[in-house]
Amino acid sequence: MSEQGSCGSGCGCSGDGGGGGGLSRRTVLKAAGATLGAAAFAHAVAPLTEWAADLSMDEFLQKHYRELTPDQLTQVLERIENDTREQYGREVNVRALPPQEGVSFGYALNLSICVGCRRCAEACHEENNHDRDSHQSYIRVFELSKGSIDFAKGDPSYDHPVPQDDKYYMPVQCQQCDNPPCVSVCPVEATWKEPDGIVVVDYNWCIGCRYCEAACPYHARRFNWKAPEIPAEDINPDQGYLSNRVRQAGVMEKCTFCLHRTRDGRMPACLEACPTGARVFGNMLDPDSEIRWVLANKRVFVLKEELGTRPRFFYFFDE
Amino acid sequence: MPDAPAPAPAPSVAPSALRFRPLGLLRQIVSWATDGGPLFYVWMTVLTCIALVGVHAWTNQVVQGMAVTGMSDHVSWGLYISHFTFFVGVAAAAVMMVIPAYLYKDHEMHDAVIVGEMLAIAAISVCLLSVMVDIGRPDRFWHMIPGLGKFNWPISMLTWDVIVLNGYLVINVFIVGYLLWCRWSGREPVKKLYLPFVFLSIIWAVSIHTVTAFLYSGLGGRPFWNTALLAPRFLASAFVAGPAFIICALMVLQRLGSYPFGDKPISFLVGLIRVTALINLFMLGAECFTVLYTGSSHAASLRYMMFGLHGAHGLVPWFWSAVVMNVVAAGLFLWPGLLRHRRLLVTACVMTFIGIWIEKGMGLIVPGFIPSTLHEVVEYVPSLNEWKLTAGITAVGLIIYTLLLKIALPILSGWTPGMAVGIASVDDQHRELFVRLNELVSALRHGTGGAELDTVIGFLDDYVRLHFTEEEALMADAGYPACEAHKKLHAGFVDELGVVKQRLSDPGCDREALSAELHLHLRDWLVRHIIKADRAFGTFAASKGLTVH
Repeated sequence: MSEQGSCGSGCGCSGDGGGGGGLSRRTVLKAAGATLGAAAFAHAVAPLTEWAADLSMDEFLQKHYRELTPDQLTQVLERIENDTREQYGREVNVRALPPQEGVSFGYALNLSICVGCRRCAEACHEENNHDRDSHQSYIRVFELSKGSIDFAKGDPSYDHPVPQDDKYYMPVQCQQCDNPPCVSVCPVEATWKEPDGIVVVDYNWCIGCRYCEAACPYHARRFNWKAPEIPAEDINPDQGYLSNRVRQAGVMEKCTFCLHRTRDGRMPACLEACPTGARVFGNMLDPDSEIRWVLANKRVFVLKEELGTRPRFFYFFDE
Repeated sequence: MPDAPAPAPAPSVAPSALRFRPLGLLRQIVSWATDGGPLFYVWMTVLTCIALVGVHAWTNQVVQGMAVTGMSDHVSWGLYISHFTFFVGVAAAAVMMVIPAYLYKDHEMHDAVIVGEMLAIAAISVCLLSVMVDIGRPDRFWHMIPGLGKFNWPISMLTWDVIVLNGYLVINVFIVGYLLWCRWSGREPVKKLYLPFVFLSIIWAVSIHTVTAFLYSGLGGRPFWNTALLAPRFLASAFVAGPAFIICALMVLQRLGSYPFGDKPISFLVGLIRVTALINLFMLGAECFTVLYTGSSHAASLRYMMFGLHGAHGLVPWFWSAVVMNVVAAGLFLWPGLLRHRRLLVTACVMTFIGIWIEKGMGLIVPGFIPSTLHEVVEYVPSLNEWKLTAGITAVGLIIYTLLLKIALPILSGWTPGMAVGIASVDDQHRELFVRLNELVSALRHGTGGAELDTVIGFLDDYVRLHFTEEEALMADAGYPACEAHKKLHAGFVDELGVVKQRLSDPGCDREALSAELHLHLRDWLVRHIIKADRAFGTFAASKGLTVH
């Protein structure tokens, strides 16, 4: 008890509760140390003020997408358009198309005729305003050996003319599961399944914990490790709030079956780009749709069926 | 009465000390938290500098984006979540001190348990900070607050984790705060008020680690984590790493002379680690067998970690160094002589602490992502920014821990205003009694021998007699009805002190044990005696208008 002071409390004080009368040298030194520490702290966090200046109060306080009134939604869309103009120098049109009644989307892919050209991935990259630098896309195409569906032996980064004779190609994107593990794990309900079957993310509600990215069995989710960089002329101005508008840094994103197109009666960008017609997309509730024909007549399969995720993305072979 | 040294010149007692005032406590806390020797200031300065480096790294990460980390879409959790997972375990381990101390009323564990509970508070702070720096949008933190944002409970395991971690923090702050408050203000702790929370904290400690394991084991797409063994493994390793840290903390505190806890808590914890370290290794082995012998593609992560996969070997050195450290430490703990070799004990504790840190961090979180769900092998190396931030968070945890101890230990070991009787001369003598008792304990611990030790004991003995005589005289003068009963209590204490003196005169006595016993037993007697009997007299004296200011 070498530090024992006369107050009997092991505190080393002079027994009068510390300070005592007048300013002791120790008190002055302590104050100087605290000031120095506070100054160093202020210096360390200084860049944050600049960052916070870019964040408007409206954006900070914005409610969850599904709780916005029509008026508030209009304002939000306007604000996003203005922000994009300011930050990227491009006039864009951001819409919030609702899911259509009686529509439930499904996607099928014919592995017999996919040639692995990766134009779907490229089209996704451009359509969805992905970061140009990292060449991000929601689609990864695996080159697999005929006779096996083992991804472990697949190659997603092949760099040679396609198709190779002994290979076949399997594009993988979000499977829009009916039992999506990514939705269950989200702590703030920033991601959910829409009535037409599309799993979406509210980029303005996501906190960026990346739990969904860990939960997804299909490597379908992407995180914005930094704000995307896209030249103004490359930006696709036809945008959706829940789909391809330019995302912020620090939030999750994913394939949305191009809902800004598909809810408007058009086809996903990846389908339009496919040169062989391997991709089939449509309303599974419509008995005359092509997707219904495929599901009824082809032996389709889904990826990792044993996980119980119930994908809406089907694969099949012709023969 | 032998020729007693003159009672310490009584500095006029500040009247403020006679009544309990919250402001006084605050002032005292600030002074305890900021006063110390040179070692304390160096320690705190170094920690503050590391914490500031961490703050700067975090700022950098917020401004530039998470791209400054080594993480990617393939390995989307890294060092931060590893650190988080490990420290949840450290926090949970505090419960291992709580069980013997409160449940089985082991008196010698009572003070050591506070060291454990404070570790829980500091460790949970580290956990919460580690998660905060891992999220991409810290500005949207409020989305998680129930009522304000959207709290996806009970579906998301992460919301369960938020609840159990914060709940555990609150429970521990309450228990520690309440017990210290009682000691400070001179109240007997009301069992009904704190014991239910003690029991709750035991269950809760298990829950924080179970829920954290469920975060990972509940993901069907990640076979490496998707095992029911994860939660038991988490608990076993937590009860190795946590106690290892507490052992080191107790030894450092004893060495610095801050507090004599005695050997019992340490030997209890070593006994605990002996078992848990083996269980942990056994479960790791069982996991390895099941996965590797089956030989399915689910073994890829473990193979990557143990031997490397497709030319990628990033985790191999981590894994094997963890295994070696944990096995060697487990061996050391099994050796009965370890308790006598303090350096070796510390080495074993540090080794297993680092070993478990790797096993539960880099060795558990990272391989969950390698290979990816589509079997791509993309490696992960933490960036400098991540290391800085992690070091900063750890420093903040240590700062919190240090300050908590600085505040708690004096309250536990000395006179507090809650013991004020209201008679200035009596209160002064009480303070002096604590000083002298602590001096004796300190002399014993530092191996002071012979004449010098006799002086210290004599010093205490004389002072006790002097004080009792004066106090009894005061009582007689005031016509205190309970005077005779009080005298008997005093006589009992003098007898006990006599026994201690006798034991000390035996050259072969175990001084360490005796010092702890003195400290815990005599000091507690003193505390209780003052709070109950002496203060009863104080009240009587006041009613007679005899209060001396």
